[in-house]
Amino acid sequence: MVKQRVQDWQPTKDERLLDQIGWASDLVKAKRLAKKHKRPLFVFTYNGSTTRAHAIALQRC
Amino acid sequence: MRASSLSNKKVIELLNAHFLPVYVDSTYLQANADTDTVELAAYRDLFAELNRANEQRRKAGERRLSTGTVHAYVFAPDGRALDSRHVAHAGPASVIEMLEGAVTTLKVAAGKPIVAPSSQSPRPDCADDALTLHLTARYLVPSNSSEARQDVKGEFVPLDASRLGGERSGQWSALPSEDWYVLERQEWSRLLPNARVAVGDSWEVDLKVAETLLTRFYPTTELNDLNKNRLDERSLKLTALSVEKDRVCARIDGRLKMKHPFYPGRDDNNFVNATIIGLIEFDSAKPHIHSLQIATDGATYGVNGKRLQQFGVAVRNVR
Repeated sequence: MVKQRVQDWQPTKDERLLDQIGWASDLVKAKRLAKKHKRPLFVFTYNGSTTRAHAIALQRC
Repeated sequence: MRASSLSNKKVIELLNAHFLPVYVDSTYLQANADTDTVELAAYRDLFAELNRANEQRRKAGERRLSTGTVHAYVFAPDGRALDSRHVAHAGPASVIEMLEGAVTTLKVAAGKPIVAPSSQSPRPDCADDALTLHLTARYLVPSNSSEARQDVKGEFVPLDASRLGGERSGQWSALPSEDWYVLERQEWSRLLPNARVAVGDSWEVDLKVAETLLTRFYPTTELNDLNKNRLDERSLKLTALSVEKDRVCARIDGRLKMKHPFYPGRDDNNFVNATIIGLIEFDSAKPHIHSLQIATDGATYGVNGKRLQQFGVAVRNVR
């Protein structure tokens, strides 16, 4: 029962579509790459956590 | 927005083919003393540019760009602010319009993503003898609900994820939240008994270790500062189910009652109430934990006496 439940409640592929986006790791790098590759910059800003860095998968946003 | 536009396949296709996407946690960046000052300056520069663009628009009598800490923005490669949406107005159709507008205006050719897509919740680095645990927390719905996943058995089951990526997919309960924790050897070894055990033997887990494990057992909320949790009841008891030489399989039974406010800075009476079940397999001689799986049973979140939300937490070790 425990193993089945743990498996059933894992995130599915459809719930991890965020992972299919080629995100830059930080804003400084994103700006540099946007300029270098002549691509517009898409910035998503959200209110996350004062204590948890790079934890978007944890956040309600 | 994570459950709506950022789970929409057309949005993802546009971002990967034409843009350089990045996300920024405005709260962490502005409120944390450890923030990289260069990154913070880059963030502030975005808003300086938005202010400049809006002043120009004001003079020209044009619509001003919406600004704030929960937004989607598009900037030209040279840094000029082009467009924005507040997340409340950033459904897939609106975001697609914004992205396609920028592609047309700037004549951006399609190409491959500049940065390779990868997991946004990667396994943390840790010592070889540490125990790395992955946690999934999700809201559950009755299995006879029209929103319920049909392939999972149980009275309460996960939401059907095929609804993600739509105009009305942005509810806070739509996606699971993921977290990681790393238990160093001196912590995980306190899950194990002090002496050899036989089938049927039970032992209580050290309260500090139980607290470390259980303080993350809450559903997706806006508060992720663990120091704000108050554990009123927490216990984990292990009982040996089988013993073969040094290899022991034990069941885990526990209880959690924890005050966990929904929002930062807003005290409320939301409580987690959960029964804990699990299985652990370990080698008592080395010692070494082969596998650890923990789940909630009948967990609820909310104010007692009012409507309670069903939710579930699943924890597993990852090598």
